[in-house]
Amino acid sequence: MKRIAFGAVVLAAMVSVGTAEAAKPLGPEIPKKALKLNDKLKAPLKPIKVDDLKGSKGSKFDLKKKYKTASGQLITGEEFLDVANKLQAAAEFGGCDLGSGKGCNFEVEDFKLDAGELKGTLKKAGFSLKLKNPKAAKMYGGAGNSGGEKEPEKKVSNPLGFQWERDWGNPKKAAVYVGAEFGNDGSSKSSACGGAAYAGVHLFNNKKEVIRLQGEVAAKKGSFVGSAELLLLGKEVWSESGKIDVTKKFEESYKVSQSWTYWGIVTLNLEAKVTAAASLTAGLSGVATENEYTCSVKVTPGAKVSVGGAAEVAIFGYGSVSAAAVGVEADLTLADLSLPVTLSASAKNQNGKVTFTESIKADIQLKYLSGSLDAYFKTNIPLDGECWLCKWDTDKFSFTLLEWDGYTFKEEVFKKEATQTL
Amino acid sequence: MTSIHRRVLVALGGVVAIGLMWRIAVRRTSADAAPVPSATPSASAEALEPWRSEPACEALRRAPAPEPLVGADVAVNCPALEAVVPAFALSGEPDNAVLERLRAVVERGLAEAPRDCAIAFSRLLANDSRCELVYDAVAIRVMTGPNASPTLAASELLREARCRWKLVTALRQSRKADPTLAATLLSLTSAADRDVANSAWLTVGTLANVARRPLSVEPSGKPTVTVTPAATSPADATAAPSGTSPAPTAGAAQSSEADVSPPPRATMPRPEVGACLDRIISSELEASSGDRLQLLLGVAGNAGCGSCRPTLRRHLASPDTTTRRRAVSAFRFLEEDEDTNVLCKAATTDTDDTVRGAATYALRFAAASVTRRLECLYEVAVGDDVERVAQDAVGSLTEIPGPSELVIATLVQVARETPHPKVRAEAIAFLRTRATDEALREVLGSPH
Repeated sequence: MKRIAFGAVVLAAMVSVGTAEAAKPLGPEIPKKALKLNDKLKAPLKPIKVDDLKGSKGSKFDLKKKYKTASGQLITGEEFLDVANKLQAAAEFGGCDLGSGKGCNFEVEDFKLDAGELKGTLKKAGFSLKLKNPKAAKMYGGAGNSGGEKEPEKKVSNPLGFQWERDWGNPKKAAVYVGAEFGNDGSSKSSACGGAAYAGVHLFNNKKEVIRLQGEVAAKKGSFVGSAELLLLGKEVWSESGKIDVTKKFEESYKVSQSWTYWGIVTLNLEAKVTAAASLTAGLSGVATENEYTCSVKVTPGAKVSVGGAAEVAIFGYGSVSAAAVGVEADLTLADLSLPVTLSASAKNQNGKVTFTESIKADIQLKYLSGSLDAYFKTNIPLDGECWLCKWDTDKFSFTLLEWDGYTFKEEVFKKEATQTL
Repeated sequence: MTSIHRRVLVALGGVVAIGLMWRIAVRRTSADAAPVPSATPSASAEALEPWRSEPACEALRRAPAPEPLVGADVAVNCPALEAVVPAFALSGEPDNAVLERLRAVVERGLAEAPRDCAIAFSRLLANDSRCELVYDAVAIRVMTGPNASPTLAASELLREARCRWKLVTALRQSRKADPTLAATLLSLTSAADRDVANSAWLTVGTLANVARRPLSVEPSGKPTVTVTPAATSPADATAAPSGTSPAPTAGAAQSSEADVSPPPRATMPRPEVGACLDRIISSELEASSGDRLQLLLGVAGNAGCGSCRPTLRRHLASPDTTTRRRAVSAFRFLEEDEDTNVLCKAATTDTDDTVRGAATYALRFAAASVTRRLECLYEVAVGDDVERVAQDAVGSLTEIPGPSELVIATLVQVARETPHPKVRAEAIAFLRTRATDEALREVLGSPH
């Protein structure tokens, strides 16, 4: 009659199964048996029977009774026998014999013998088993093939996604553009959501993206990964990983130069300063469990873009007008926008049937092109044809460079929900 | 114990003592040359800030220390403060006009009384807990305005405050890479407050980039255009000379005469500061993994970090899409031909469309290898099966800094050849801003 005890040693990706008495040091001298991907763990050739087992003090083994494992955990005799036979089968597959006194190595990364089941069994026995994550297959948003499972991974067909961009105004003078591209992806064992939203302005034919928010969430076996960043004028000003729930605000600005000539003698050089007050609300979360892979993204990028500036005036033949006599009056909002986007995707396994549910919703609220930008200068040069000799007063010349009444735009950019069974 | 043993022990003790004394002496000398204090004075500065032993960081070690904080009991004379305080008491977010006025008042205050107003405004910022846009309106000007004192600004960075991360991030708008500020930012990368530490890292990246730029004046990227008077081209401009028009009405926004006073300032590059920051970013990136890796990829991207290239290339091969996407974005300010090739390869061959999109986006930034960049963007706009990636390419084509005739020629080709209707429409929409409908009909050869 055998006295069975279990010992498991986890060394990196290597598992040893053998008797406690045979706790010999593992090493290269012990041959390693590689198990193939499709190998199945069958019933052991030499199954361990109830009669083969004995309690610690030689008492009769009872399937209904509770026994303490090496780690001190209590399991039933039935579970104990199950553990014994699983390990016996694994050991046989590895070319060794449980209880023979010889060490036994096999590589876990090749051990595709229903890893979940084996892990559960070992857990009952109080053993820990580190399984190497298989290499991820390429997918949108970083979700990968979790592999190593009995069931082959089934990819989602036609996941939701959209790309949208629109502009308002006249790019030669001033205009605003907003765009968004978001999408989901997934499989029976993963889900991924992500994309980007951006907005920028045209000012005097100069196009510049002001704000860009991008990020993604991927849920796959054993991991949930979230990552998002905010760029203003190409500079990353905020970056976060993991579960994210934030509200942040930033100011950023840049300058655009433009010149006009009036009457062939007055040159007005404007240095327009575009200032963006950017805001961001972001919530990224996910679930990655045995039977559920969910990702969720809720983001609202926003920006208020206004224009101010400084001007210089030169009058041909009379030199530059002094800085004190030149000014800019600005109360111009190019855009005040908000683009709330929510998306989620979820693969849920119930009784072996995987349901993939997803949704995307995006709206835009925009106020644009309101107010005016004027430049002026004061001079006592009689530019308007007054009497040259009798002119003593100072005239103020004002130029309306940009002017709009202001408009609003509100639209549902995208809204869709879908469910499919994988 | 024999006498020989005792002698050996005594000798060893002497060696240890001499070693200790030597280390203390060296540390003192080093401290004399490196007066920038660490954020936590009780701990060893070297232990907290490994950059201090980096040979490339001599300029930072020699930087003047941040000034001691001016006590609240010290009176300052800042007349503009009175106009700034109410903005912090506003409930909700002020509208653009209010923010614009606030910015103008702060700038004027700092121009009139640079030191006193910087101190007064900083005290206001230190007491703020809402971290709204009014905070930025003040912080950016205090920290990076034309009269900002780096040593004073650095002392504010070290002050514990609820919105300190905003003060840190305001420095990204600096026009010069000041060594004191750089050293202080580096000390904050290990701050306990995650927002402060992350912001400090990202700002260090931007500062490294600023340090290498010859000019800090914002490039417009496009030549200015002279518009003829409204009288000769009424449809083309709202510019209407109004002669002796009345003075601004009371309801109009404030006149910004003061805005004219600071002329554009050209600042000299600080390559030694840039080199130091690059080395630090590179070694941190090399040692990073997980969430920290994602952050450091962003930092390297802001910096245009040349010494990060080997590590970035390694991450381009990552099986993780997020890592690849962020690694490819980190090439956007790198300017060697090889960097453009890296971006082109990712834009045209990566199996993931988000990575291809990121590479396409990154191609719009650097001013070098423009022809090659245009070729790549054309290739993506015409050849990528995913419409949104092709559309990203057109977006980049319309923003790339480069000769406009080349850009226009590329967009014409894209409009002719792309299989995606939206991409074609976007290319034509941009071309319309540069050419007449007749000219477009001629080059595109069909109605559009």
